[in-house]
Amino acid sequence: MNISNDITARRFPFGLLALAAVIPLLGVLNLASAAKVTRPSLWATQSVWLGLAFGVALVVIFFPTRLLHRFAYPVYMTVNALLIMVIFFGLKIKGAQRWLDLGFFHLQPSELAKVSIILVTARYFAAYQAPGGYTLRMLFRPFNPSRILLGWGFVIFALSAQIQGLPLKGQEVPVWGWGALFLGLVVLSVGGVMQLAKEGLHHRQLVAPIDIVLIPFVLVVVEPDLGTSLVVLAIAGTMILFCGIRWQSMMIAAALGFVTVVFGWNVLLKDYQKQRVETFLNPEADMHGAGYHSMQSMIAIGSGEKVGKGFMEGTQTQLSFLPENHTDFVFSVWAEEWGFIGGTFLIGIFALLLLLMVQVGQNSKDRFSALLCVGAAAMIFWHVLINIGMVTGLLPVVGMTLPLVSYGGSSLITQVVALGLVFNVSLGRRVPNASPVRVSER
Amino acid sequence: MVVNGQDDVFPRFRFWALIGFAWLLLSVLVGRLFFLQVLEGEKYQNRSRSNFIQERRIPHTRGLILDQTGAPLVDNRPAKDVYVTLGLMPDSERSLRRLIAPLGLTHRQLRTIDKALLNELKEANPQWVLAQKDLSGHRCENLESYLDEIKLPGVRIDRELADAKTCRVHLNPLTFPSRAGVLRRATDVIGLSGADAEKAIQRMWRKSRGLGKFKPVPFVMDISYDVYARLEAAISIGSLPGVSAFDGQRRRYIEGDFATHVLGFMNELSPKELERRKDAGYRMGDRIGRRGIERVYEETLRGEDGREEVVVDAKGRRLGLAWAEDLLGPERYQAAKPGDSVVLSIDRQMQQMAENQFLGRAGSVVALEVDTGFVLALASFPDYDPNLLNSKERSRLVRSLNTNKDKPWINKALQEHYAPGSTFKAITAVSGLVNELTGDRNARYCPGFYQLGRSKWRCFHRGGHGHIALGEAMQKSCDTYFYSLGHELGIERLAATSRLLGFGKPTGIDLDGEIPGIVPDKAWYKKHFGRYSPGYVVNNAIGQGDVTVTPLQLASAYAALINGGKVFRPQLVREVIGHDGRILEQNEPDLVAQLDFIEEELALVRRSMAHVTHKGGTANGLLYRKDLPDLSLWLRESGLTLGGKTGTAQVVRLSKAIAHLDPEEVAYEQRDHAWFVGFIPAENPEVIVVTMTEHGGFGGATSAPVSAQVAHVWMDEIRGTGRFANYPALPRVKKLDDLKKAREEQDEHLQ
Repeated sequence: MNISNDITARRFPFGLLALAAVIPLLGVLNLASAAKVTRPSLWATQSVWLGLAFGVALVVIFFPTRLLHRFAYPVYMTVNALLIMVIFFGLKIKGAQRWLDLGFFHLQPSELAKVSIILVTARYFAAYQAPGGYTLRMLFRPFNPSRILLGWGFVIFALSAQIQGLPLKGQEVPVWGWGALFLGLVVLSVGGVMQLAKEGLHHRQLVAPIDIVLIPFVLVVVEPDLGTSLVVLAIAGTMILFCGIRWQSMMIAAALGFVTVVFGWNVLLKDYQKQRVETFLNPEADMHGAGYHSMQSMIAIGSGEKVGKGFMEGTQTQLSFLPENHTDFVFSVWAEEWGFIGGTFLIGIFALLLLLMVQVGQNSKDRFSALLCVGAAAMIFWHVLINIGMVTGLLPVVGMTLPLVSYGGSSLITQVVALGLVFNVSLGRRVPNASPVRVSER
Repeated sequence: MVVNGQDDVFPRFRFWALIGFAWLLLSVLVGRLFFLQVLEGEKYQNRSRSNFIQERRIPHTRGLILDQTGAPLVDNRPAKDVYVTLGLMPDSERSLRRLIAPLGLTHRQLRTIDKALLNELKEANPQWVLAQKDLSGHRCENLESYLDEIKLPGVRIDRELADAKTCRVHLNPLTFPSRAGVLRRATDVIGLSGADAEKAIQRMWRKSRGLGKFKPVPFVMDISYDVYARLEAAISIGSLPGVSAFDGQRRRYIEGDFATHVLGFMNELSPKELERRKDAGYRMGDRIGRRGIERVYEETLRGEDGREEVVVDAKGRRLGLAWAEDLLGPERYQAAKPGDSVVLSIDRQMQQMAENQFLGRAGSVVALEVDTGFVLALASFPDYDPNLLNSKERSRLVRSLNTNKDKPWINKALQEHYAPGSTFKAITAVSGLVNELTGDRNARYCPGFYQLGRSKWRCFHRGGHGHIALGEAMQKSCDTYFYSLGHELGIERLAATSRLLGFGKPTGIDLDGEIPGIVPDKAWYKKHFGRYSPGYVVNNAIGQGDVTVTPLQLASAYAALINGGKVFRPQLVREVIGHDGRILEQNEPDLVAQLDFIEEELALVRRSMAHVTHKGGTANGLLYRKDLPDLSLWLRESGLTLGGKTGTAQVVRLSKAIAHLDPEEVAYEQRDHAWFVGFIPAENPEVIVVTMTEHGGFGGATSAPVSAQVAHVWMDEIRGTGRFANYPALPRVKKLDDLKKAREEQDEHLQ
């Protein structure tokens, strides 16, 4: 097999390359204005990161696709191991434990988790395919003895803790809560025994497909890093949805989601967490409180009006009314200084970028490659959507960067690696085990 | 069931569905941008401007009040005022909220702690408040590093005694970030304690309602310089966020309790008034003239505040001028316009003399220029020091003024009316002359009483004056003569003459609150008594019935009688001058009426009054006052005559008869009011001085010396100087010059 032949055989996506280059360059330009007062040389630092990211991208692009396929699980395991290490040895900054101190570099494993979830989800769902789509039961396998045992273990531990007078997280669970937990576990246990009897001992009794997502998700949530964990969930969710889910299952999922939100709001969330959500719903009510960031960002964007205040002329940005204006709120800087025209232009470029990424997947010859493109596009899409949604006041402030535009090495490299995967796919190299195994409920 | 399949690739439409889904959601973002930037753009543009524009007010300087020589009576002194901006103060709840997670607090606990902090701050020695106990060792360590990180002051972590692993957390009410803490520290620095501090805080809260939260509102005004130094030190180390000291100006009444009722005073606008006067440029904390010249000339004295817009960043720091010019343009700065000054016609020396004469008594003195109506002195007693109304003494002073029976708030020269007593006889005389009921040679018989039907009115001279002509009747103040003349005149003719001279209506002086007095006529009696009886005029003719006048009216009317019938509106302000000294306005004498009385008749009355201070006159005691030897000497030797008329107005109607009682024998409130109208020189009057002493007894004894002293200052010191330089010189009297020289030498010797 001749790699160079493969490369020349397909058209290299120069359009995608051009867009992928323009966005970070606009980002550097924007940083020059955003951090002019606070850190005037930040754009140069970002340029260095950009060069580094370009190097990493080259490695990713020319890495053999089949090796990506082969190393998907090991990479995934390694990243999960790093996430566990963060919990124990992580560096704590501003109340969150997200970084591993490598001496020369603060590694943020949750960023790696985004890439690894793309790889592993692509690998798994390329290999297994459910005709007519997955059902929730196939994805979650609720009667697996593994999680029933885990559930019993947790309940016993929590109950004994409460009896000893040291309730978990300082919250006592009421009697009806314990009752509901026991009842649910008993029902699951019965189902578990039945399933075990029917299917016999098999590794599937231990894990379910959804576990590949849930493990990193939970590990990131406890850091805590709500934004990243949501992105991990959203990337995998988009990919699984792309593989196909039965519509009945989707309805049930929606209903369960609704119940969870209502229950979570009334029972699980603590006062200050509720407060954050309430502030999001009505930022004007508490101008200098938690809604301050959101409000100032909306003022920045709105005051840009149609054509903006001009490069480096944004008052919200230059007079520091805009918080975190070089990371999460870069879009506000951009929209303030370039107005509606500039804002729409940037969103348009992202839309075009997504289109081209998905097209590469469409033209790929196997499920793994297609899923890699879908995953990469999903990652960039959700980042863009949540970030801009958040700075325009449509979504709560969760801490989410704008891909390729926000300052930050880890984030930039993650996004560039995702793009690299798409270029890699565009080279059209063959991946083994292209034909998936069909799975069904029985 | 697991089956091998051949589905190598995904159906193409799925990719289109995917990208369609993504584009749909992205178009929502574009829609949101359209809403924020195009539809609502202007609103956010304004909000971004109000983010960075901070308007600073440049207070104007209020105009001065000067005396007729140009010496300042009221000016401004620099002062330091403390303002607070609630919006910039830390919020205790927000500070506590940062501890919710690390301490595991519930909202209810948070509120309890908040309340406890507040309660401790009301104590003289605030104690630490327990926020949480039995915190696990792990949490304690986390909390420690968290506190280091967020730099939250006023939190103390103590290891529990029994078990070294757990800890408890205390909060210091003074240093834990909270509004109440900052305010407590501020009042401690300023030196306000207990009730005073509480009052200042309450007042500030009221003013901070609504949008006031983000504006500096007055907290403690006019702090001393050493308090200012301590406060600035505390502010500069950041321990008093939201507290700032601004430069201000305070009105200074240079001579204290001097011409109090003329100058007036200022105080702060109430929120309601502020609402009304907003358009005129008044702002919160502004002061406004409440009485006197300060009130009447408010618009003249008040200038216009300037304003400066500065650009601030998110932390409220002011950025340089380049930013401001760039973002706001040259219109951002508007200089303040100082107010104009007013030059009064009041002469400081004459005013001072009038006030010196009045220690411990109640009443008023009015001195007018006879030929212009300008006021040379206008004093009312008791008075007070308006400077104290803007000091800590304020409430004590106001309380004592409110309870004082002598009504110190009132300007008794024009806001109080009295029976004029015998001083009214001149008006009755003129009325008689005009109506040709009396004349030069008209003599009447005084048996010591006047009888009309069955009623009998007594003359104060029980023995009777015998046959007496008009001139002598004036000089000796024979009541019977005027009883009979009054009766002949009738109430309507007497009232008509009174009104011509300005009684019964305000004179129109440029001071506030002037009252009209009463000129009774038949209609008035019908209204108030139900019917008119011819006997009423008999009393009124000697100023004793129901006629009442203000001292100012009396001065103005007498001026008309002795200047040939010209009624002038009394005026206090001669000129308005700009802050650069330019004369903006010059007030001319304001002639209200030229009475067509016959010159010779007026001269007759004036001449008759020239004898009042001579032998046989009711004020002849002036010539030999043992307590005022210099004044008496001057009156005897200068060759000048002080013309005048005494008046002793009964306060309590004992009977129909006039019975002046010895002041020593009657309670203060029942003693007679003492009047004296004096003018000098009697032949060609220049100045008229009306003195009214409440419950002063005999006019000739109590009030006449005051008028004489003020007139003396005029003749001796003021006449011939300044704007009066063109008055003809007086002949020098060697005896008086010698006396003066001796006095001066004595003074030098004493110094």
